[in-house]
Amino acid sequence: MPWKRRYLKTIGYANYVACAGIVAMMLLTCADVLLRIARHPIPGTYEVVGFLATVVTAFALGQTSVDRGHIAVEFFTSKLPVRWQTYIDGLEAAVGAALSGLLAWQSAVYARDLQASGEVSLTLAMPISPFALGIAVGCALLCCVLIVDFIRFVRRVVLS
Amino acid sequence: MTPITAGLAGFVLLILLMFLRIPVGFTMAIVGFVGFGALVSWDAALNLMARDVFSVFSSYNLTVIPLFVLMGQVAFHSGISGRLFNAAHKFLGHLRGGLAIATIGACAAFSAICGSTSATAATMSSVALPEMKKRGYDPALATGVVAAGGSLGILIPPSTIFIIYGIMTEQSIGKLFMAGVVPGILLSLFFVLAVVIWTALRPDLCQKGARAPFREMIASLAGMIETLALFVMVMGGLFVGIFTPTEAAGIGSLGTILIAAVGKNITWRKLFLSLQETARISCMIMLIVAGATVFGHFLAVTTIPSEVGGWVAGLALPPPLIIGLIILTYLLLGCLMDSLAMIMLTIPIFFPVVTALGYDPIWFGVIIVLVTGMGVITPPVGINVYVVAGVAKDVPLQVIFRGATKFLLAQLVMALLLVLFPSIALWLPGLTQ
Amino acid sequence: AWAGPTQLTYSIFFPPNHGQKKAADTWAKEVERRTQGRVKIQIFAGGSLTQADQCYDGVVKGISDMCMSAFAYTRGRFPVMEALDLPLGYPNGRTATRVANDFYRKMKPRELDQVKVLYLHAHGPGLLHTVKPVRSLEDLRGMKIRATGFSAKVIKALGAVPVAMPQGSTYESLQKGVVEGTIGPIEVLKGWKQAEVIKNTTDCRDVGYTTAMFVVMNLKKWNSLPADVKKAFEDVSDQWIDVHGKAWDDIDAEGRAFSLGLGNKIIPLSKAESLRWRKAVNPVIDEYVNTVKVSGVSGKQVVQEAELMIKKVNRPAKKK
Ligand code: NA
Ligand code: NA
Repeated sequence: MPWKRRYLKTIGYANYVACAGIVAMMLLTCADVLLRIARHPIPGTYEVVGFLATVVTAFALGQTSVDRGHIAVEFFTSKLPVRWQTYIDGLEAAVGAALSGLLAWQSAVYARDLQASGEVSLTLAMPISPFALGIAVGCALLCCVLIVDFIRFVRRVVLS
Repeated sequence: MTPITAGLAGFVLLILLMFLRIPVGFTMAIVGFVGFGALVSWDAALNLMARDVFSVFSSYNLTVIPLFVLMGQVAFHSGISGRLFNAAHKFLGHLRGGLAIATIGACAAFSAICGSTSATAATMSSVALPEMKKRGYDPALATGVVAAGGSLGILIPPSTIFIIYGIMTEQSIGKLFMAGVVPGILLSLFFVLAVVIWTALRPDLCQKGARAPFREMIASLAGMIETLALFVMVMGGLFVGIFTPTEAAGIGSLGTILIAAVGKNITWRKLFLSLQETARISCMIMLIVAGATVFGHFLAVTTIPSEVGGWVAGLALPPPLIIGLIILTYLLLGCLMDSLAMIMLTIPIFFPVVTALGYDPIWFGVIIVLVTGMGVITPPVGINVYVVAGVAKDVPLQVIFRGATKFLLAQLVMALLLVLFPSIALWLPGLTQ
Repeated sequence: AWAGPTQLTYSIFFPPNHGQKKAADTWAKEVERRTQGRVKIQIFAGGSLTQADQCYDGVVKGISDMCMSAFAYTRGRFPVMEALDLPLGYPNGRTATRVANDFYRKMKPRELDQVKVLYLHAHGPGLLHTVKPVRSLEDLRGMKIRATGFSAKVIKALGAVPVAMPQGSTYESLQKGVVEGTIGPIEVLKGWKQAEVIKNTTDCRDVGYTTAMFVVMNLKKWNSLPADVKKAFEDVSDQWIDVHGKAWDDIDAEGRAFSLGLGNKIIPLSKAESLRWRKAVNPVIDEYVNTVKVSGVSGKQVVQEAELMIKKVNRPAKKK
């Protein structure tokens, strides 16, 4: 399935962005500390590190879900018959997709609100809305992963 | 529906969704969203969710999580932590649960540079779990130790919770930090005791190694040099005032990479692997914190924390009983909610009561930090347990909860001792007056 | 028909024990009293419902019905009101609070159209608190001072190095020397215990900036209230302007006493030195004047208005 490969690739690329974000957070923090010793700290480090963290989390959402990285209680469901477990897989995907879809939509709305309000970061006066938009993109990716999961579930149920 | 009924209904829904294997971060966000929607308005609930997620994802104070996790991952992939635990094994391996004891020591030492429970648990999971697994430790014991050991992060200074308590109650943060030192060391010892007792009762939980020859012990010490260098670097920088505890995470992760590079123990591939793991683990933690925040805001509008608190505070009982009930209240609320929200909502109720009873405000701060440390390992909402589960992907959540709650007893004993002998906390800050 | 009291949620970013939160408590009690219990106000302090930078937006979106926060937490959202935070030389909290309210009533900026503004307040002059004594601009040169937003610009203009960090980290950073000073109203020395880790306060009130804060209500909620309830809200709010102003001055006095009690010094600036400081911060004011473009008003007008009001409000106070 070429679309599947492309979809996994996109999520992988997004995860590279998250990794790069972590490196940037680390290097910026260290550079700021070193330069501060010389009394020339990098202005706005504090807020930029926070924004980089936003990018890290948002862009890692998809891959984390592909890797089944989100924590869930399996104690109860593992005792159920396999058939029931399949349905719970479907429920999990559907609920997750609905929530992440809702979040993607609301974060995009929030980004628009932020842009309209003219709100900027405290020190560098950087616009904040792109980071809210970043969360919207990350949640949309997560939503895609979960929709694919749900389609898989439907296929499995239909085929069996 | 009254707010309180809504809160109880929310709790039932929380348990139900969790049992249906909906990821815990999602579960808390959903229940928080539905509850806030039902109590306030759906429009407000939609907006609340997006804003809470943004606040958590962009929080500067939470940036210690990815950076410390990276530190732990690099230490693991480059073998730095492996060599440290090898040395520990040579020295303590002949004791039953020796590595679990070493892990508690490592948690306590790491707490001296990190002020958050979840960052401590995440970092320590990365470095200690593979070592205990390699040597055949029972998953419940291994994961329980790191989940509980993480709670030392806020008791041994620096500590985010002491800072918040100090600001809320106008107490000296310096004194609070000092008040946490002795109880922090004592609690570490109680954790060790818990390991000793538990493994004595259940010898099958871990293997007891043979006593290593003296020469091997000495030789293994070389493996500790990297960790020691790193610790001295970060502690020194904090102590001399080159960087803040939040920045220590960034310095620590770069320092670990550099030390690994100097020892030729890291490749680009290993570094990339560490980064990918870090992204996954911190993303998972952030999602849980975001979910807990939404859920916490719902709990706030249910008025349950303030109602329960007000009720306990209003009881006409002897002071030690009131303190006992307050601890119990925190234990129950701590099962449900994130520590920060819990403290914000309840301190205003309890603090005046406790001080009016003649208890020392610094002492009460230590109690609060102690009960917060219990809250992070009690089910169903136990952030540290979730964090450990994220690192130890093969261990089921209930196994970690089972392991971690064994250490709850140690925390309760510590609380009891503090109530009976307040000077455990007050002695050290008293010296400086 | 009687449907029970109207429940209103009120989100406040101040921690529960802060003087301004206590002033808000008395305000809420008075509103409840004057409306004969038809309104019940539930306060969420310490950002337990919405965080400082989310308070305002939270009211617009109905997450809380009312909130108290500072304009400065959401830079760019309140371009006109931001002028109040410039280092215009506020002598005390009562003046700053009165100026803030007069200024709002005169300017009625569009940026606050989405909410009902109940009243504003503003803290006493932001002063410099340092470990080593600062008697002149030369002493201050190159010092690392904790400051964010507008105050960071003031610090930079005075020749020092602004270092941004959360207020909660400031204590430790001062203690360990990550920063060598901080800027803020003198009450932070007690409220955040920072007096324990500094040695000197430089009384630079002639370049004293403030942080203007607002108490606002969701517009829909406001419009749904009966006329007499609205009137009660407005009357009590008018009356509480000075309550908050006085509360600021009271906690400033407490902060001062606390710091002096710990053996710290307060260093006055000579007239000549003060003039140099005023000159030094002028670029900050100019930058505001040159960059703020709001339809209908120029940055220059806005600043002049604020400066004029400080003089006007302060005059009767001086006669005493
Ligand atoms: Na710590
Ligand atoms: Na818990």
